[in-house]
Amino acid sequence: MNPLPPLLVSRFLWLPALAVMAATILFTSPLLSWPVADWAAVSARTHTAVVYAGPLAAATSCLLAARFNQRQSLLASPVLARAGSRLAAAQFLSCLGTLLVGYLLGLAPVLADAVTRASWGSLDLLALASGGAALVGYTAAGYLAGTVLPSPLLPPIVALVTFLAIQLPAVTSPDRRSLLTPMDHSPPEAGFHENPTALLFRIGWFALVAAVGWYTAGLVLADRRPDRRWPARWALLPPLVPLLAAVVAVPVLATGPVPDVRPAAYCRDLPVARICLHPAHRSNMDEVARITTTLLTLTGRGGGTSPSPLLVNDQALAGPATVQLLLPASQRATDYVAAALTDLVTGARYCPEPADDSRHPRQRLADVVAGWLQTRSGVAAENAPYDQDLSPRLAAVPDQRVTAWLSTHRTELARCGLTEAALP
Amino acid sequence: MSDISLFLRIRLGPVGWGALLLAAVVTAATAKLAISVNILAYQPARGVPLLELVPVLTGAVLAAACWSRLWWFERLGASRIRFHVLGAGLLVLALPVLMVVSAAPWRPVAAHLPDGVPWVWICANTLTVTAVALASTALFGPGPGWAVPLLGYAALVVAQHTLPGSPLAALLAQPRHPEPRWAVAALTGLVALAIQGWTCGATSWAWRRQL
Repeated sequence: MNPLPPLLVSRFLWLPALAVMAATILFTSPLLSWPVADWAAVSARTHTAVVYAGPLAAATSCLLAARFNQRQSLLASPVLARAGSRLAAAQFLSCLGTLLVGYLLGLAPVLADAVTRASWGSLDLLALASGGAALVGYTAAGYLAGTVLPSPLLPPIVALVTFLAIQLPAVTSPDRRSLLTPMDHSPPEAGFHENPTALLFRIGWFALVAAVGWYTAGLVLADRRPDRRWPARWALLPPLVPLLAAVVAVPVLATGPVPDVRPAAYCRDLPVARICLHPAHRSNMDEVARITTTLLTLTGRGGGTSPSPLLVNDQALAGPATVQLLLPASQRATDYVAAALTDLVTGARYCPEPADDSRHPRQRLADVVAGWLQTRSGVAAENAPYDQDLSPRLAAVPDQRVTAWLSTHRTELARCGLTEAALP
Repeated sequence: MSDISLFLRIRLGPVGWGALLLAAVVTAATAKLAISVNILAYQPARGVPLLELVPVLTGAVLAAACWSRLWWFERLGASRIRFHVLGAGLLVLALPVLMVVSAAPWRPVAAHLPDGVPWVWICANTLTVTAVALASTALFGPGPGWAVPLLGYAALVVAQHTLPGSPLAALLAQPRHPEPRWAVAALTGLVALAIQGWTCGATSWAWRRQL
């Protein structure tokens, strides 16, 4: 009997734990420079970050098992008081505890950033739990590999195989995510959150993988005789049944993100428009209001002259709107807001489809006007539409004249009905 | 030549040769994929094609796997043994490069390594990493044998992304600068073979560490 419980944190594994922490920080660091801190995106990263932490964890536990569980090792003898699955549990838990601490420390910067900057929402604990469960699963798989084949050459191979096992199912799937791995290449943003069924399934799946890894490693250690490499064959069969059942269950489950349940919209009434944003995009409001005012004033709608104010609505909020705004948390709002508003002003959706490599003259004029409006409302010149001949021509006209022209031709323009002949 | 193949067969074993074949298949099957190392938003990303990553990893593990098995016999260092050690080392250097060449027709059409972009630089990188693995295996043993080159490779890739102008970044080629570094590869290869030949595959210190 061992009087001590297995130590949950081993000081011998600080280097791999540091590597797991560094990999997690590197994976999540781009979110720190996003203009908007979005809990939905951050929550998704708490399990997709396993894509680099998982292979490192598997390689670490594989190295540990390969070092300590050599076939003739006195530390792993089947006649010890703590042998078989108890030995596996002791080693596996100490390895796992250290790596989990590294993983959580690696997530700390992005979580702290979201706590301080995010204006709405909270951490999805199920998502975090599924990330932790994935790390547990890969650590157990690595431990099993190192126990079955105790070779110092195995860890890098285990790391590569784990990486491919995480990435390939997600990369090859049409919706860019997989239930059997923590990877999701199209993670949700504000307006959606992750499917709880999918997260619960992942937690269950990785708990199962961990249990099977631990059980099988325990069997291998307990049944180790000089004349036998493998435990009795029948003992290896029972754990395969739930694993196969889980794999079979995957296609039946819904995996896509779920829309948020009616978040209270954050609205502002301007003389020209009423703007409603998803509360998570609250920090964009000043920029959206500035661009809306500038752009609508340029088209001659400013100063309360417009018959009815526009309804500018965030796409993350379901609801009626004159203009739907797409606001990705990773990008500056300026370009997206300006593009959505100029599309309305120039009637982009009424413009004819471009036919064989040449734009329709009406489409061309719409682009020129869009470019003029966007550059004057703060969009960088290289991101705005530009026409070799017409854009310089329009830029040479004084702004007041263009505004007056836009105001008089508002109706035709909004149906994409003007050609270059109508330019001032 | 048959002596060398016997020598290598003893060192690697049937499982090793099977794993090598599997690695070649994996290289071809995943040649279209790439990882993007993109830590700093203001520096361009360094794409790591799996066509580079898998052979580099295979080279490191292969060199460590071909660690001396009969060192107490080999260290006697008769000229014939040295000849065998050098021949085995040359084959270890060549095999991962062959993997790259054989998988190159399936190389990526994705953004990280567009079709038509040369892939020869990957051969030079693979050669360099395998050579470092051969040298560190002989000097420190099989465990550090793969760990030293792989950690070094990871550090260089991160350096290529974060410090693109530094001399460190110029040691290996990368998709954005696909000029193969043959000089670095040849130099590390020659040094590795010299170390292998001089130590007959292992230093006594590395050998004692294994007991």
